[in-house]
Amino acid sequence: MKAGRVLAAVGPLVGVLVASVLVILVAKANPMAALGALVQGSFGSVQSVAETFAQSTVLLFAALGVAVAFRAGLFNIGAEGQLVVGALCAAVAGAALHLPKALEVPICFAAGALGGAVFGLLAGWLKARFGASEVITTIMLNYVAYLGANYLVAGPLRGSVSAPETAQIVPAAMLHPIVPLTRLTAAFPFAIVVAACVWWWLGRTIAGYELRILGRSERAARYAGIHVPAVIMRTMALSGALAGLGGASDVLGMLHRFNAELSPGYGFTAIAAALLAGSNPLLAIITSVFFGALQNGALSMQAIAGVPKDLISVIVGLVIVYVAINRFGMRAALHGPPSDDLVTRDEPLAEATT
Amino acid sequence: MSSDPAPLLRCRQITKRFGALVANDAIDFDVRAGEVHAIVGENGAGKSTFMNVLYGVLQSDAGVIERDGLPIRFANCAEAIRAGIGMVFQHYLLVERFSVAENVMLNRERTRSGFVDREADEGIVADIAARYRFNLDPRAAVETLGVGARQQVELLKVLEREPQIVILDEPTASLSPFEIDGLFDVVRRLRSQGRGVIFITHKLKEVMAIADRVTVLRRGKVVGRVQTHATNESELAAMMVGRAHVAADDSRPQTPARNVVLRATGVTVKSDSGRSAISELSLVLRSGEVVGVAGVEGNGQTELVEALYGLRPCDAGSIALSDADVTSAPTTERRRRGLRYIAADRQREGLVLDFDAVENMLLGDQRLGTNAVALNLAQGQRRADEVASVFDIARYDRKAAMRTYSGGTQQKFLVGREANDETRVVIAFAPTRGVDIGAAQAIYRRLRDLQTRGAGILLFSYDLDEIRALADRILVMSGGRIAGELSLEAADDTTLGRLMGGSAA
Ligand SMILES: Nc1ncnc2c1ncn2[C@@H]1O[C@H](COP(=O)(O)OP(=O)(O)OP(=O)(O)O)[C@@H](O)[C@H]1O
Ligand SMILES: [Mg+2]
Repeated sequence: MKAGRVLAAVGPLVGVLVASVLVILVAKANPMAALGALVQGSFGSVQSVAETFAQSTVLLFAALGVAVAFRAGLFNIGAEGQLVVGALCAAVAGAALHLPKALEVPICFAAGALGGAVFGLLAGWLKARFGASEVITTIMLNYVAYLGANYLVAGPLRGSVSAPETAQIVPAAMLHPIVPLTRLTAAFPFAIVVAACVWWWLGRTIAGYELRILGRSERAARYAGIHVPAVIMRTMALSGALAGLGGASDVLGMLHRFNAELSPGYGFTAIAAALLAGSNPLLAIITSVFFGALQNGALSMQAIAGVPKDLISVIVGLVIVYVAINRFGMRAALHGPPSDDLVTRDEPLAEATT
Repeated sequence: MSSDPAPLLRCRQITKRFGALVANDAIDFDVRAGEVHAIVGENGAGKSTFMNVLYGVLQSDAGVIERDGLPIRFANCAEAIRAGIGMVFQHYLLVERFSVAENVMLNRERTRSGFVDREADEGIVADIAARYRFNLDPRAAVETLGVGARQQVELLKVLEREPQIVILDEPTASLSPFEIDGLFDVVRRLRSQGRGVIFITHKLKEVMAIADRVTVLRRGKVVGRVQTHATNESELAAMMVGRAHVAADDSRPQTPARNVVLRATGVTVKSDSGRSAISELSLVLRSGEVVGVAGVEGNGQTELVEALYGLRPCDAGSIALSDADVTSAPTTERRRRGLRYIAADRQREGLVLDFDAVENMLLGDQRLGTNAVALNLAQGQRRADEVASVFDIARYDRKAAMRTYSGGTQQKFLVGREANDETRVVIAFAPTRGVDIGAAQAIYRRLRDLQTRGAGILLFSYDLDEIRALADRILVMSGGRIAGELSLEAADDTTLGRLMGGSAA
């Protein structure tokens, strides 16, 4: 049983590795050289480790958002859009406000969280009020976020002559590197603290408990006196807020302004990271760093071994496929059905680990 | 034994472990042609586990299975099915939105030029249904069917493949007496066709009525095997628990019925499909009394319970707890006023199977009497420990998921949570469904304690014996109304049956 669990967790990773080697071979490169460059690029030096952590930061926030929604049985595909809205809000606040750093930074983060929350809440409200599937609405809202932000930075919010982007945020809003010559800022430890808080909140608070009940069975939630529409909206707002924090950390720590190309698809990679972590916030730290490392190492891989960095997207896709196989195939094979309870039930996406 | 022809199925020394737990311990067992072989045992004795091994769902750690005298191994159910074994599980596995025929023929659809030949499927299903005298429309959607009809669909799924051996895991647990009679007819027919039937139940009366032989399991071991004509209920009960059977404690607490704790007046409720499920129903429950609600499944019981518990809005009428009107109050408010509900569906409603016992003991009470942010795990732990000790739950482990407990044990946790000091009114829906005699008695004791303490109990059950064992007076529901009220003395099977059939309505 124990060994089975470990296998179930490690299996996908090994599979992804093997599949990646195959993809590299197809790209006519030397797998060892490519993987070597990848590892070198992501963990080879203090700077590259720091850069990996920096790249993991946004991912971790977004992955936490996706994970929280999963735990309530909601499939939030909209982390990307929520993150973009959060980033825009943080950038606007950071440019407009002139406060001491101790106030400016928290307020900018709060603005990002608020923006993401409102955007997540929109999908939650559509589901709670009209029963609209959050999968569909969040995908569509991603476009709304992208195109809306594009319009805003090209028009009303344009703060730069050279490109469609907002004005630079004030120095008080900027986060400074904690490792020189890298983009690793306090946002990364902050993300880890947030992960721990989310973990605690899910497992130890009444609100977190109610969210998890809903994730297991809506009927049990109603039985327990839970107002299901309220929990759906609350969850989507929280999920969006976490993604919004990611967007804010990107603006405050790395770009110092907003432009519509700021996310290389963090919100989608975050889905893979959350799935791979079984929606456990603490494991999400590890999986986010894993994907952050891939993203970071990809550039060196491209430079040294000539493997296109888009390979990383292929790998992310593979992870999702493997996680899906793991959930629906391997799990049954490894654990077998429980003796008494061969009931058809809504199969939750999350592991109960708290 | 050796003089008999080879049995249809024989197992030798079957052992199945879950980690350190030996769920099946060297079980010898056989079933012969034209025989009904009952298996009885307390909750967690290993009955379902053993059946899952026979049906290829689980693989044994040791032991052999012989089919018609030849050793055989099942890697999965498909192989067991091919070997002529069919099983109806304790919990049904049906696709709600599919029709009866689609469910029965799932995966074996007849096709014409590559498309499913619906008519052919429906014809086949209508044929077998007629052969077993099931009154089922092959085209009806399963979601519209009651428990009894669903079970018939499950039976059809199995019978369509003409199995030689039919396994029925607690088939009577949620059936009404009439439906049980119907099922027994089917079992007798299977027996007369020379098939072997394995029949699991907790009701010894049924064992005596239908089985030829009975095997008693205790803690995974076979502790007895007898011909039914050579034994009786109390001997079987004694074998199951391993000591002389304590006669059921029938003493009723004599609490004078006092103030009204639950009152429904002219309640009208719609079903999910928008049809009127209950019309102008009134009832009164007093402190210290047990009111039994009898009726054939699907006559509005579920809707009534949901309306009383706050899960379904009332279109008309009012509901009051003690003196407070709660007609439009949410469930939490009703629970705060001491209303509890032993849910009909423990697996998806009353419990969360993936949560551990501690978290399950907080379900529904998570916000009661607290404004705190943190979940009161200490309270859950206390309650879980209390329930485990009062109900004598073997192998209790706070951190184990509810899923790993047997069905009867899950029920004990549910009852233990809902029936406690804070309970003023409890709606108990089939509270002893699928639990063994010992546990049923423990549950009855718990409910009687409540009664003594002055709580009111509204008992819904399809099992008339259960209603008669607990209730002080009996309401009969039919067609969404109370068709009649009977005193305990007047509640014989014929009178009840007549009212349940709606003839007095
Ligand atoms: N998948 C599993 N993992 C761990 N333990 C299990 C599992 N399935 C069953 N058990 C344990 O094995 C024992 C036997 O369970 P089983 O379901 O066979 O009992 P049963 O006789 O069918 O009980 P009931 O009358 O309540 O249905 C129980 O102690 C149960 O907790
Ligand atoms: Mg069982």
